Amino acid sequence: MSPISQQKTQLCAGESRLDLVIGTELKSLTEDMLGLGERLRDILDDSLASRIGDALNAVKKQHCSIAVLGQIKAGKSSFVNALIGRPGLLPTDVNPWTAVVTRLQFAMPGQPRNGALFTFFDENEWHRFAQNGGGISELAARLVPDHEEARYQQNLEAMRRRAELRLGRHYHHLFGKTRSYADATPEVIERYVCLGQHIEETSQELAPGRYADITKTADVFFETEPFASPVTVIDTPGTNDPLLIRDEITMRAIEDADVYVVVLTAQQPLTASDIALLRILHGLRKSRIVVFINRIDDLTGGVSSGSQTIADAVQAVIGREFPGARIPVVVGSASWANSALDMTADASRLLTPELAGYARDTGAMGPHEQIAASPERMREVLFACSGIPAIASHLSALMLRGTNGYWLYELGQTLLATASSVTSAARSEIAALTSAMNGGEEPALAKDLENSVAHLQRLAGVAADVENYQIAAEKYLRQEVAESVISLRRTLEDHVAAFASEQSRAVHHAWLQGENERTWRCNAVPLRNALEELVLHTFWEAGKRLIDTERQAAPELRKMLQDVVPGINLQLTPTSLLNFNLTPSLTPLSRAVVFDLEDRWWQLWWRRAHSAEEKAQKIRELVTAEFSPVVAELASSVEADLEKYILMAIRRFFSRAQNVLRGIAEKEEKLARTYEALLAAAAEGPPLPREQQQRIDDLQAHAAAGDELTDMLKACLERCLPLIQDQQRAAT
Amino acid sequence: MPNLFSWLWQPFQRPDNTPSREGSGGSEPEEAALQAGLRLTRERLAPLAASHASAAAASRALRKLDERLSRPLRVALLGEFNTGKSSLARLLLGSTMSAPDVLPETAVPVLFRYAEQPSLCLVSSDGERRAVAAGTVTPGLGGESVRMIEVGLPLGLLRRVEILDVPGAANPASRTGEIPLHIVRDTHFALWCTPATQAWKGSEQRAWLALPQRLRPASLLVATHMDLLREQTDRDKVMNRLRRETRGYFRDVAMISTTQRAMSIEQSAAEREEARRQGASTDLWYANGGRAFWSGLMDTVAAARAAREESAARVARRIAAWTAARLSPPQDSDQRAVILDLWRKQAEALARALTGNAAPDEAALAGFADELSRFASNALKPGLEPYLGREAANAIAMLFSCEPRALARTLGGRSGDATAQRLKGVLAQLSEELVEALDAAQTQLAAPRNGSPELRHVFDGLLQPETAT
Repeated sequence: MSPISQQKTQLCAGESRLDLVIGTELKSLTEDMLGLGERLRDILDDSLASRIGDALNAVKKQHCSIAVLGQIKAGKSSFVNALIGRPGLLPTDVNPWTAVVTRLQFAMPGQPRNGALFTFFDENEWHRFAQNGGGISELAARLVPDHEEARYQQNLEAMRRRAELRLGRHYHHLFGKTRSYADATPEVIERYVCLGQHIEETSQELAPGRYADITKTADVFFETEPFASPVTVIDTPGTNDPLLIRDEITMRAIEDADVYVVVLTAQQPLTASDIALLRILHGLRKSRIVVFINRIDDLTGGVSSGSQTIADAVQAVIGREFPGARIPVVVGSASWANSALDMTADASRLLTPELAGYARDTGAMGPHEQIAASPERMREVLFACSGIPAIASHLSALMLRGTNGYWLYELGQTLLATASSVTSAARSEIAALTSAMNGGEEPALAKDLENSVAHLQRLAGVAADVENYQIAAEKYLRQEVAESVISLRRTLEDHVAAFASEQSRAVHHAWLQGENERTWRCNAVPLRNALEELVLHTFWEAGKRLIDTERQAAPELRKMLQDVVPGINLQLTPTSLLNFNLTPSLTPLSRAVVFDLEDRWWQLWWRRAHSAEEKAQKIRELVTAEFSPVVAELASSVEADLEKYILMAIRRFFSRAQNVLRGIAEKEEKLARTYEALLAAAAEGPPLPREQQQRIDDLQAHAAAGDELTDMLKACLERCLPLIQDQQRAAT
Repeated sequence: MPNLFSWLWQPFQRPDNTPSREGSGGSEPEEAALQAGLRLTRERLAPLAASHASAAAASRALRKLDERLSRPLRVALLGEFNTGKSSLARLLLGSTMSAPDVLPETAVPVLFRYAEQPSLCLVSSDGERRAVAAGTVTPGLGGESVRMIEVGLPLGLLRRVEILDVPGAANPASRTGEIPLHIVRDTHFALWCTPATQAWKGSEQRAWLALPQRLRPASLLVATHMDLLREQTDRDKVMNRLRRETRGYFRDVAMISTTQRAMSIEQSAAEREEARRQGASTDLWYANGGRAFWSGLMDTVAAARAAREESAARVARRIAAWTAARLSPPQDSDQRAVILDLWRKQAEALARALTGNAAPDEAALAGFADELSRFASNALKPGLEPYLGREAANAIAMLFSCEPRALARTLGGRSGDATAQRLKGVLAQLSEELVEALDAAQTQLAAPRNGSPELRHVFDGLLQPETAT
């Protein structure tokens, strides 16, 4: 399906209201699941009820983060404003303007519902940033020591001077501090996150960008709208900035989001830099990406044919570069959306006849609808054309597919297992009570009690077995991980060593051949690619082995349980690494090394007096020195992520079984106590049929409720299933 | 002092009262004067060419220079894809030969050059040119075989400036990556196009800085799609940022709108005025930065022309010096003997230093490097060359093909460094050969001169016109 027609379907679905709600599906699924959980908790006994309560609370704390990425001047901040329905909130400009990663938090658990909080660099961070210019000039100093590059130093000097001019001579006092505001107006935000004018006369108290140089993070808090559930939207400074410092800031911020919106411009859709960005995200298996081609209002040809062509071309390139990836593409204009949302703007004036044609083509307007309709209607049309509603619906779907969906699925499984064990326990108690009441003889009761106690003992035995099994499994898996990591580290080191020799041979040869400084340089890209491939390969291979182990453990575990809980309905599907949003961090690889420096640095290095042998030796040392920490970091990141998987997946896996055992044991204990009471009653006189009957009625109600809940949970899990399958597909 | 050198050089000299070249797009009269000088010198060299290889070589070199000056300047339109390069080309040409689309489409460089009749020509990667009929060139054309498309147009402008429209960089769709260096080899300056709404990204900066440095002071940064910035203050902001961030990378920054129908460069001022009176859209372009761009472009062309001319004059001067040195009469024989003796001693010292086993200390090395460099410049001293045999000339050439300081540095590397040892061995051998050659030259000088009346005759003939004036 072409993106335009996707959009058309979207628009025809009536989603042209100005007040979007994003993530309703996730919300309704969550609410349904939590509702069932509450009902289940009501029929549980105290200790089990509190455990289920914990599980419910864990899900209530879940939230989703959406990172907005793209090159400078792609219109990321405008897009965010349009998406959250607050035109003009994040400041924008004709020059690159956003300098600070800004997190907009909507009804996040434990966070306020309004205001803003800005955190400044601490002394060390500022020192590294402003004195050494972040990574780049540190690198330059490593490659060509004692060489000062005038231009770069000028930039840094300008930055320090600007900070001083803007903040006064004692700006150092601000380091490590935070500033909070009860009212996050655009003016306040502008003071902290914008680049500001370069001209140095902007030292006034309220000038835009006054604090931008020293602000590390910005958090702005909101009520839930337009999101149905807790969400953080992250606006970032653009990538591909000529000033490398800001590029670095963004790359550091992109690690942990659940959903990514990559913003392109219609004029230059999908440049090599965009592909590079998508490649990084895709390499991290961050498959929850949606591409927004912004600024179709800038197209000078026909908007309709133009945007169609662009969308098709972008889709084609994405298809070619990332085969099998499902990355939706939406064309639109954040500017239109912001105009539509801005009640002071005249929407009917913006809706030109050409745009109306586009609206009719996409179905935002009826084929015979006239422009002259009500202003409110024109706003809706403009908003629909902006592509924001289409993005919102993609986001809703992607939010479900993320970790959130997985946690719901997990909760559903736990609830289901609990419900069915509760039901079966209730049924056996009913049977016991009924048989006791219908002519319960003392010897029979004594026998039942004996059975019950024996069962309890068996349960305890199985619980211990399961625990031992868990300990053994964990130990085994840890060893497995340790071995993988050791071999990974060795392989990576070998690769670096081989690369170092290769490069040192190359430089030796080049020097003797009398090549000049322009033609030779060390290109570290192949090494990076090789390391990346190795890391990802090892990670997914190790992950696969972990899952296999889990898969083998499942029937074993089921067999253990089957003995004590016949007919138990326990879902023990192994979980994918992706469910936990676990991907190895490749950030160490994107950390700049001296080999990324521009050619002129290498020319300087080449001109330094060395013999061929010395040059070769230097290169070998440089490669080893630069990549050793990278290799170490990569290996430990893989190790940490796999460990996390063991902790999260294996423990959950086993604790579900333990939960069931515990639930049954509690019921069994009750049953034993009932037998004891009946025995005591039989010894003292006639039984108390009324009380027993009451108990049986209660239990029957429990069992019925349990049955109903089981069915409803199954239906609810059905709804989760596509999300999980989606992920499992992505994992293979 | 009238001499051979000034005789050869004089035709290239620029009169002191250089006429102003403002806005004329280049100083043709002056260039013509330079070319006339080149031709005059070649006429003077012609009678010598048959007997003197150096005169023939000089004549050939001067002819090449002359040809190069006759060729139009070449401007390359560069930038990432969809930045308005093709629109700019169309604007400059006033033609619709290459229509831009929203998607990048120019996969092959297109060269617009002058032709009497409109023509189209495909240049293959092995340099073969094939004329084709207009209309057979489809947008998808390209592939491996076609390296360039040449479009011939009967436009006066193209006589002065050829326009090379280079495919946009950074476009993953057509897999055109970086700008290949060979494309800009023959260009005199570039117009780097960047969209005003998303101007000067990191990738553009990297691509531009990877191109030859010589283009920087001659080229313009052109921010296109200016009409998308509706407020003048916005335009100023962007211009300020571009000037600030590209300081030292370009001659100047201009901002234009290429989306309005373009005004042909062929239009005269009167036609322009007429168009303005009729409210034609050309006026829009003119208002949308066109005027400033136009004058900036003209200045750039003039500057590029002046730079080319200056460099041609420099080359001509070097050729003149070289030729004069080879054709000059020998110096006084006593002086020559002194010089040769000095050289011989130096070469001996050199050979001794190099064959000695002790690692030379730093001061010795510095002195050594000095000696080498002095030796290098002396060896080229005109007049003595005929006395050095081929071996000596070779030895000198070998010795001084290395930059003396680099040589000293290499020799000063670690003792026991194999390269240094090898190098020392070679140098020592060369120095010894040089000593022998210089001995022979001294002997030759001491012997009564009986030879080369022919040579003397040639020099006399050459000197005559100069003494006459």
